[in-house]
Amino acid sequence: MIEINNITKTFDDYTAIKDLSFTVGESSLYGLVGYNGAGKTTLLKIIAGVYLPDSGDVKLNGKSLFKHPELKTELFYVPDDIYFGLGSSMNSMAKYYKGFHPNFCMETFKKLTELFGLDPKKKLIGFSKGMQRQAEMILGLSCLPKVILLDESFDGLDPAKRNLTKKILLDYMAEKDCSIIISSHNLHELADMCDHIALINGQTIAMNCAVDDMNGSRCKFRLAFAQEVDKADFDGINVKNFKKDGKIITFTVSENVEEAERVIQSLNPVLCERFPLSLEEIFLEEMEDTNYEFEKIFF
Amino acid sequence: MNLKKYSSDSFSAMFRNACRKSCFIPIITFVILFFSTISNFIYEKYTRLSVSSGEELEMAKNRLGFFWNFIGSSSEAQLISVLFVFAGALAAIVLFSFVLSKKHCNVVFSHGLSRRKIFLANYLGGIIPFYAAIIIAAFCELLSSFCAGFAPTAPLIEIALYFVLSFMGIYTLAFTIASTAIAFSGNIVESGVFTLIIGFFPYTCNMFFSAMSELFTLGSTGVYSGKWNIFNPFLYLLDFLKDGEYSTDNLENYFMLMANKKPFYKLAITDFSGIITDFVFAGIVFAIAFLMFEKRKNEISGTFGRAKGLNEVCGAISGFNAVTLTLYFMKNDVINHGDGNVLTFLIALLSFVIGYFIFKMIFGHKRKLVIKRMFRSIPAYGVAFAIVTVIFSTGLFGYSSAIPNADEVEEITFSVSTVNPYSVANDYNGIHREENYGYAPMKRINSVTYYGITNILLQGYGDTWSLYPTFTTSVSEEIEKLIEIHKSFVKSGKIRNTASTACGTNFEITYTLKNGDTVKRYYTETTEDNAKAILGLSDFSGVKSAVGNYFYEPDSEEKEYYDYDSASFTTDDYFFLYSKDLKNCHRCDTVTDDLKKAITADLNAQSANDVFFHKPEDELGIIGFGVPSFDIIDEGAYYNEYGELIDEETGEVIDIQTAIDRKLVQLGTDPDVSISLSSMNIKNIVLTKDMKNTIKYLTDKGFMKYLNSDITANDVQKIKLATKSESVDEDNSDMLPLFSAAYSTAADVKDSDVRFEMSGMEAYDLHYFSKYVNNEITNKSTIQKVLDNAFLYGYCGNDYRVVEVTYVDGSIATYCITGEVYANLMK
Repeated sequence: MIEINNITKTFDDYTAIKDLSFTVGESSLYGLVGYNGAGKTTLLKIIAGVYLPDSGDVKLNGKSLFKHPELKTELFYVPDDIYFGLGSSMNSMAKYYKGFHPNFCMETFKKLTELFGLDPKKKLIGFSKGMQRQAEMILGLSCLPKVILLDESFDGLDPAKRNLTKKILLDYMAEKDCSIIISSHNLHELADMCDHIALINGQTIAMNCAVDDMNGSRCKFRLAFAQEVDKADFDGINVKNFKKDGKIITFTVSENVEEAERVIQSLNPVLCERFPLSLEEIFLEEMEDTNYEFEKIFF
Repeated sequence: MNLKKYSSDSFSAMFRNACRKSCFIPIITFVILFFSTISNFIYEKYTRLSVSSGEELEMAKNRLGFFWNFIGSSSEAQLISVLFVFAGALAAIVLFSFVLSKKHCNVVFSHGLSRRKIFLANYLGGIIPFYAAIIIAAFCELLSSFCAGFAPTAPLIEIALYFVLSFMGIYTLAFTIASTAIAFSGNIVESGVFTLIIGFFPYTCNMFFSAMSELFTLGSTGVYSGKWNIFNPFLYLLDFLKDGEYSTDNLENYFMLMANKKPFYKLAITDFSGIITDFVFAGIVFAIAFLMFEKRKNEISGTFGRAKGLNEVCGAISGFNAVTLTLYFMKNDVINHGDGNVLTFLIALLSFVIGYFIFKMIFGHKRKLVIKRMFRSIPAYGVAFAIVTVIFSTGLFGYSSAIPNADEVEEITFSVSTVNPYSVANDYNGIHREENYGYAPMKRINSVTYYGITNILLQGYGDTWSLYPTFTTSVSEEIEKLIEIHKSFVKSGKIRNTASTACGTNFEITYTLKNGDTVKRYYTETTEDNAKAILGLSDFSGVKSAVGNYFYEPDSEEKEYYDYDSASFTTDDYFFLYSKDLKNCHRCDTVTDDLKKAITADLNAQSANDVFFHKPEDELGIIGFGVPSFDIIDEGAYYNEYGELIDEETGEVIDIQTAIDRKLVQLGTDPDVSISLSSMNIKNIVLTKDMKNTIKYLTDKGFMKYLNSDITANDVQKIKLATKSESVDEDNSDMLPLFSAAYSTAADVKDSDVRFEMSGMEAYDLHYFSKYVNNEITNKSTIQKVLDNAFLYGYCGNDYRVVEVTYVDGSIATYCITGEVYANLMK
């Protein structure tokens, strides 16, 4: 289990993360979602020990990672921009990582290389971007870590390798009780894989819940009324993304769905349909607060 | 496996990785040194020792040896030092450049070990393989020396130890500084600049220390000349051989055992001071880097100007460098003439601000905020510099004023600008100090101080070389007398250049104590009383014995070595007599042994009082020795390709000796040969009435008549009077208290004018009196009084008057009168 407690990180005058906390349990795949610059990579780097937080702590199984950096032998960080040693091959990198990860399993390494169809003797510089990501993933999984941090790690993978990677990750997680934190902009993918989702909305976590709970607490309504109905008539409901197209009204509700349904019924709708929200819709809903007036950008 | 074990494994993995990455440097080092070993072995065994046999061979085996002989001289030692500096910097780049890449940081810092261990593992990975390479190479070299047949002597082991430690020290310091600079920088450009700034810091400290000492500390020589090599951490190798007691530049001499089996040179602890400095400096830098690396902000990787801590340190050093350069270059011009400590402090602070600001504008992250932030940091630096200034103002807590007790002193070496001019060691003759017509100004010339960039880089300390002769005494009375004079200098305190009571003089005194330490002090201005006291040093035994060598003619080798010793002076030449007014000159005769004896006896009998404070009426004239420089080729003659002198008209070969004789006759009969007075090749002595032996000799030979003077006020066109400082528009502190008369014929004046005009040189004293001195006397009676009281040579106080006399025939002479005489004239 990995606990992130009250992490704050500033870069000069800019606060990237402020008092951020969450916990990732064992056998859990935790998805980090957020717009560009929201602080996802910063957070992952702090957990990995690359960046020092201004305050807060990260605990692995109850022990502080900052006070006990040796715990990081059970952690593997796959960054967005991958680095391999000059002129190195997968084999030489395997030897390198073996020195820092005592659980490194050459057997696993060989099997995964075969599975992904990569040549471990070939220089990594000759690999494509996607192949390099696969190589890094293979090396990371071969370390048999208890915690894996993945930063946009599926970028550049072809659909087949993407599915393969996902499957391997899920299998590994189930088998080794591993905690995985993954950041991505591919919300469909995260929704399929993760059991928990955290949405970082610049500095803080705007949403942190289990994927299963997400559908129960948020939904989209499609309504039609015989009489004229306006947004003001839904007073008492936290309505978002309200749109009216003739008689058809659509909006989303992110809390008290049952109460919302009661209010709607009290207005005697001629049509009332309820749909679950996709992760992308949830993301956009959370981002709605920006209220940017796009029409003013171009004259 | 527990976590501790994991950590240990990670550390060793990182260490191994570091060793692997940087191993090419120790391997190349070893190969170079081993190559030297093989070539040494072959040469020593099959060339040098093979030519010896029997007893000679045994002696060679026991007395000689070899160790890395390719570093045979200091220049080669400096070269290899530079290579080790580059090796250290290269290793640092290889091992620590990962911090400059965000990508690489992601990998390294996510490993299971603390940041300090990451730093330590890489640091040791750069150090240990290099040490191993050096030690193994040294072992191989020693072994080959023994195998070649040389005995394992103590000097051989010592030099091995010295070289091994030196190589390690230089490499370690370069590696540590570069590693630290890289570890805390954002990019390679910053790393390089920061490395240079930190690397040069000891050298700028040296300049700063020297400049501050000279500015604030009484008696400072203005350079660090101590035995402890603390300012040159990179290029000190073999300095002990080059500048040591034995002044040898040959490494081999070091291995020699003398007949009594004692080493030719015994290494002292100070010889190891460069090595000690390396390790201490590296240790300090490493400790700071090691501790601070825990807090390194990896987000600065790949950025520019965001390495705040190191940026601030280097900014401060840059400000410090600006202060140092300003003080160094302005110390003799603006600051020393100003209002002392406050002005110096303000100038230094301004320099600091400029240096600091420029650095911050180049390497700062948010340039708009630089000035705002400077308001916070500058006061702190100002306070720090004020504290340093106060420390120097106290004379380093009284250290500069401390004078050893006589019973602690083994000997004293001293040098003064007003020493007895008749010493053969004096490179100037008694009458003239510069080759110029008319007035030879008494302007004080500083002893030469070698402190160029080359010295800073190659030595880390400066050399002072006295322009004036140096004498050493171990006579207790003389030691006490010198200490007394020195105390008087200290009591007079720091005298500003602008002080009207100041008197220019160069007084350098070096105590060699019985415990082997040396104390060196140097003064350039003092009071008139001290200046008079210093003239008394001419009575010292060392100075007197030099007088005894007046007619000693150095052989050609000595001439080459001591090139300032009037090398062209030969006693086979003629001597000249000048009348007291200097207008009449006569070539008399060759210098005989009797004349030499007479003059030597007289000079030895003269006290300093007789030389410098004799009465004007006691002066008889001048006797000059040597031949002035002249070209024996008259117009109409030339040298052919065989070096023969050919008459242009007849085409016949002219006998050179005949040509010389003919020229000498010309000189002897020509009254205008007095230009020889100002020739560097002439040694002149003022004849005074107390020189009984010389007078007797001249009388016996009938030469005394040539000293007669019949000049009266009627022969004088005009005279002008000025104090010595007015005469060249300088301060009293710039003027020596010693007058030398001069004379130029009308033809000399013309020649001189043409010569200066053609050369384009700006001779500030050329016709200075005519142009700028207004104090002219035309009254014949007063002129006569001046002539009657004028003297040719002696002490010249601040109130004395230099008299330029322009004769009716156009010739010009300069004499001197005392302040008292001048006051009486003006009544």
